[in-house]
Amino acid sequence: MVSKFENTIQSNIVKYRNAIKYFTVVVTVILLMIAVLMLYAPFSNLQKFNIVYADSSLISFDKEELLNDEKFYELKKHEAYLKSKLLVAKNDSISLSVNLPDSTISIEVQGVLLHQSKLTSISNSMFFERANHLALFNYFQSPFKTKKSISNIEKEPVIYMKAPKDTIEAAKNLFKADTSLAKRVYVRVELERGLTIILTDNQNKWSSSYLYTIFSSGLLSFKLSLKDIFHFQVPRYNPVIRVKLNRNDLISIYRAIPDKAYVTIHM
Amino acid sequence: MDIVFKINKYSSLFKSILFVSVKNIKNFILKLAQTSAFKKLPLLVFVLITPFLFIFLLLLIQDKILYIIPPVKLNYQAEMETLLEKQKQKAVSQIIYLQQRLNAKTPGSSYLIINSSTNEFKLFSGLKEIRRGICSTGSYVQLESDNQKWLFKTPKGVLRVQGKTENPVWIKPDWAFIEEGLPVPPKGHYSRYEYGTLGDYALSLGNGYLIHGTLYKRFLGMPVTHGCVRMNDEDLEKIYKSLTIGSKVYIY
Repeated sequence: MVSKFENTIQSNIVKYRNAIKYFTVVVTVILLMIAVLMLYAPFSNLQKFNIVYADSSLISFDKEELLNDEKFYELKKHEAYLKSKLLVAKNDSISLSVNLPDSTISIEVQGVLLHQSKLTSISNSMFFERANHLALFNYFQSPFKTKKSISNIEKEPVIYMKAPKDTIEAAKNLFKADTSLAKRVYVRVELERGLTIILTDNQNKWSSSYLYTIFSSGLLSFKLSLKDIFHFQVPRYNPVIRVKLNRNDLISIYRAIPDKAYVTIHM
Repeated sequence: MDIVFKINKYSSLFKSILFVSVKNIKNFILKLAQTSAFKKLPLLVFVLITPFLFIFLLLLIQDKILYIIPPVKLNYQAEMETLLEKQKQKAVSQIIYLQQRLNAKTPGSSYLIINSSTNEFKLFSGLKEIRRGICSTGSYVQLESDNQKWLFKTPKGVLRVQGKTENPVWIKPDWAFIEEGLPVPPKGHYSRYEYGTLGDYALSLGNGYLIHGTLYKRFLGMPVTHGCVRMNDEDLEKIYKSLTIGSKVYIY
């Protein structure tokens, strides 16, 4: 009787251990598949990018091979950037302009420079160094439009206030300072054509909202990748331009640009 | 706005959790050590942390994995040299032409640029900066009474000077009384007229927005106004004399 009971327990333990083993194997295989697909994404994206944008009919000069000359390539990129800016200048809304060779970021309206700031650090995805020159030239030669921006500071720091009942209550309504100037600022701007710009201020203070924003935006990217995987597609991969600048400049720029702003980039 | 609200909501939650955790961490560990679950704690931590580490490691590697591809080779062809030189010259002249066209977009006459985030202004004449200083712009206070609400923000974008007044008189709107907890007088009532509050000059930007002086100079450089732009007396005089009707005022 006892041995039968012991045998049942033993077999249950074996079953339980086997289940754990199978579960671990299945989870590991899924994780490996996700990892492989996610690491394959930049290659696939680069390949697609080179096919879609390396269209020689989009260029204004005779031979695309000329772009292999570094000096000529730089000149043509500068020319395309200025053309982009002129195109955006026809608009009445404030636009963002990122000039990476000059390490500057500025906001403009109707071609008038409103604010400019020096970029203290620039780091780009490897994608830009491995992409075809012609494709990159075509990609950056027209302005981008922002799709979405995420930040740990408010776009409009609205303070809600109920009308006071009398003069005594009104006297208590003192001036409240905008506290967003005290924390480290993180701004993630997602553009059309799959480009992301991440702007951070150059102080080394870590705050909970800063960490939370980085964490949630990383998680969001991963979620979108997973969504693609479960739809049997190669996960999306957005190349990123990361820049650091003065905190006050970053706040001014972020609050100045509208939700659907034009962005010109000199790569 | 939703995203920012969420971030603030969760960040304060995160903060409070962190605070509570740090405060009670000793008791928590002591209690936990007495339970059998404590033995499985490393495993639990591993199971909880690993997915996040996995995600961030993947995202990090994903951005750098293209290192393994060799960089694009520049196969420069010597026979193209003449064509290349011509094209380079063409590109340089095109850059100069485009830059000139861009510079021409800047008004030749005086114009004002106001930064409502830092409450600073710059007065320009063409590409030359004439004066810079501090000002006060909208406080972003949303005042709510029983049946109305007002948002005190300075409008952004390109505005024009629509009128200029010396010794302006402030005709107090309803919100000025509501904000002070006073009863709202009828239109045209003498208590609505205030002399000297707006300084010596005022420049109208339309829709009731003005650039004017202030009695509260200690608040300059802070966002405290109801949407107007306040300046100190010297800056206001310079701006009043430099800008004409139709001059552009850029606010961001």
